Amino acid sequence: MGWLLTSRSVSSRRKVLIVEDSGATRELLRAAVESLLEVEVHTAESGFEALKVLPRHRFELIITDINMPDINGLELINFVKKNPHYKDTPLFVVTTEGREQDRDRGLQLGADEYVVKPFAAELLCDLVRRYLKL
Amino acid sequence: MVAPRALSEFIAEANEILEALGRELLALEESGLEQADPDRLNAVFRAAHSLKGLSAMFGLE
Repeated sequence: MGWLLTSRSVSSRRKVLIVEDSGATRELLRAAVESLLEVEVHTAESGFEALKVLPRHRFELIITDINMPDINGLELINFVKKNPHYKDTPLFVVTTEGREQDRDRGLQLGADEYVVKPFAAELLCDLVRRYLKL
Repeated sequence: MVAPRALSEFIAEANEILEALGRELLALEESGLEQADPDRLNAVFRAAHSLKGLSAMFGLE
């Protein structure tokens, strides 16, 4: 009788964390990444919220915006890439077109890839697939 | 097709920006451009820029 086991839904999908304060952009990123059925998307509305969510799951990829209230994206990248628990988790930084200094700073702090807003969903998905080896 | 949740967030955010833009423009009109507060002018440009960026992401340019 597998009653205990069946009542527990264990997701084998790969967990991705999206950190973005703009609801519209967050939902666009979510829709793009969720089109990959092997992926389970979690979201945070600020860097601070991301820090709270990070220890709760084993994320295999983090996608973060730069400009956010409280802890911004650059501070988040710095935290993630200096923390032994998370430093090997791939991280994409989402920057606004024309803000090349954000992209450069993000890469300097250890971001693995950058996505420029407005982004093409297919390009983003290709990147996610490549990093998650889907 | 745009995800419905994304679209409703877009409409809400675009409305917020338009409201802020309207408020700032009205204040500018009242003060007159000569006496315009530089912070107000910046707020107008910022709001317009945000709306442009947001719209571009939704393929509305």
